Amino acid sequence: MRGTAGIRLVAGRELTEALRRKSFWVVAGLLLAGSTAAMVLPEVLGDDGPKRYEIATVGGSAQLDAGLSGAVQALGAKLELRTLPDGDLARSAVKDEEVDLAVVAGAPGSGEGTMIVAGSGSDGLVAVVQQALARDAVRGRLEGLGVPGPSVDEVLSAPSALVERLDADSGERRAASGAVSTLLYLLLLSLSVQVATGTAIEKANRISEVLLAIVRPGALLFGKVIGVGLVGLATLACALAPVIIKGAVGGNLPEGLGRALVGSAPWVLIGIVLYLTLGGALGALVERQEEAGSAVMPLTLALVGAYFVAQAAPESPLASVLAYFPLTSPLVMPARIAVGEATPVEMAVSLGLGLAAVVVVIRTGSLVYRQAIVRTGRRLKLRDVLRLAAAGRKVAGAATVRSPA
Amino acid sequence: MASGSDKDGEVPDALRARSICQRFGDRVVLDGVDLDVPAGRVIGLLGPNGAGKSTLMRILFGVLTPDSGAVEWRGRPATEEDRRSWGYLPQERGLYRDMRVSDLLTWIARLHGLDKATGRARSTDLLERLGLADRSGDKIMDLSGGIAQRVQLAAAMVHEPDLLVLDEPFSGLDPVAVEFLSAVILDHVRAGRHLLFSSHQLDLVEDLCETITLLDRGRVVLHGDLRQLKASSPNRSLRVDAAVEAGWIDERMASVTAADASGTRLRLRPGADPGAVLDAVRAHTTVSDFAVEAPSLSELFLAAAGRTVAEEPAVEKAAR
Repeated sequence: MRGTAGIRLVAGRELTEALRRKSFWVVAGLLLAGSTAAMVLPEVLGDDGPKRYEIATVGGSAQLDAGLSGAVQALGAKLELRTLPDGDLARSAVKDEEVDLAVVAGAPGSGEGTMIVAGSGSDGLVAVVQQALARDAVRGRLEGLGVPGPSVDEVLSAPSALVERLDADSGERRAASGAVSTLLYLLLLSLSVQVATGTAIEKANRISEVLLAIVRPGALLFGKVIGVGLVGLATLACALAPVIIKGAVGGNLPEGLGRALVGSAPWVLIGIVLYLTLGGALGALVERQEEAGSAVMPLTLALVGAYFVAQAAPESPLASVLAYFPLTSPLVMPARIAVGEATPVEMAVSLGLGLAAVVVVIRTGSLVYRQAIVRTGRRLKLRDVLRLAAAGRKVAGAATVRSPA
Repeated sequence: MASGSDKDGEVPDALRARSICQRFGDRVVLDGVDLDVPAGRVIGLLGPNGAGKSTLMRILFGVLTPDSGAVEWRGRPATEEDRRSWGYLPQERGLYRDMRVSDLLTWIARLHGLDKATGRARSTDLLERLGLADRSGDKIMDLSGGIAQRVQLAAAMVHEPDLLVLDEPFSGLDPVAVEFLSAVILDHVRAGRHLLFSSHQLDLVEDLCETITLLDRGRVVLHGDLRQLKASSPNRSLRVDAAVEAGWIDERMASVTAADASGTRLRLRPGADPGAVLDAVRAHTTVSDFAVEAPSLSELFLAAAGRTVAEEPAVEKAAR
């Protein structure tokens, strides 16, 4: 059997059997439902269109109404004006929350109007109404001084300074970073444990013995890695499908999320190859299925550390260092991309180191797996297997390893 | 020690292992072992537990690489492709418990290079032949131990291999299953194919073996055609259907080697007259059935290895 055909068949079996398991569909369904809810609910519950303000005026004028309307529009809101006969009614309307604010106009051009607002009233609304009243007063005084109407308009239409708001979306970017790193953490952790456990079961049940007589050890390992990896990507697709659909139809996505998802793809693939290959190699060292969890403990610790940094401080110097390490970059780099901290140079170096690590891990993992999968009788030490594999000797030569005669 | 090689009778259409050596640490597991598996004969690789049988089979299949020695197939070094075409039933049984029987067999057939349709057809035929047609849709985890072992055998045969290697295939089988497996083995070799099986239950497989290679502590201690080996052995025994006390027989003529409810087996000294020994027994008790027999496989092994039963409890004389 050619290597590629063996890999394809082993991967196909992993995929087919995973798709037959109820647990896969339950997890995929939960992720799809959760992601869909996260995308749809804010649209349904959180945003009911432009804000509407109701303002009552007492003794106003057409100019004042126009000024108020323009000011409220500047807030991105709509205005509904109501005219009341006196200040008492205006106070009652504000107190009873029938209107958001009331304006009792003074003498034309005096600028002595009164604004009535509830204690919980919007500061932004108060500010723009104050500005409108001031403009109305200035207009009245200029007209009182004989300035022609068009000239007054020209004076009052002087452009205001542009407002540049810094880091307005930092919260959204941190949320996107947290979501992406959490998803990748759970994905890599569950998949690496799954590969290690599957390998340990095959070794414990001696299925590997049957298969090694038919296909090469490398085909067994990488077939499993590819098969489980595809299952993981299918699970990931369930989680991302609602996000992609929402983005495609022009829906609002949290700032940084789309960039993080697209930008992290290479690190996701690198992470899957690294963690799953190492999971398979470490799983081959153990004698029983129950030992698989402890065998992949070094991988778990690396993931937990990377996840902690990606969650807590993706902009920190520590994160910038961990973004280069191949075992931590699959979590840290996507988080840094999401918060906009990753530079092109940093990304290129990290990607290069990750790809180099893939080559090394594939070679080393294959050697360890090949040596360990046929050694039964007791749990093997990675150090012994690596030393003997590197020396080109059979691990069977180690005194610590027993093989059935 | 008899040699495992037989240069004069070398058959080109055969599996051959030459001078296989394997150490695990300080322990020598195989020490210059030769093995020949010609087509059309039932070849038994026999010996006690720990003799090195499974290690040799794993080496034949390339699961282990020996320290030295060579494996040849049809007159040339065995290749990976050759090995993929053989069928192997390992001593430790392993199947994917959550797969359905027919799916598993079809998948293994495809690993051997068959296309899906052919693999499915072969699986169906084989399950029919092995009496498992009604279990094809069952999951492995739902099968009894005996049925699962048949499925394991089917997995080794689904691609219709020319060479079938079975490591301890009779281990744990009931008498009906032993008969069934024996029939499968005979069918395979009668079709002119190659077959090698191992067993530590020497007397259980005595009737099945045509050629034997006896291993002990990693070395071949006896090799050849079983009938010829028995015929050429100077050792003979007298079996009588009666209980015999040791004091009845002159020790210079015979000694009791086995006794059970069905009778007693007496080993005749070289040159002893079986009739005189029988008369000595009949002087004390009634004998209605008796026979002069060649040595059993266990006795051949013990004689070749220079051991006694007390020394080697792992040599099992399984009840037939």
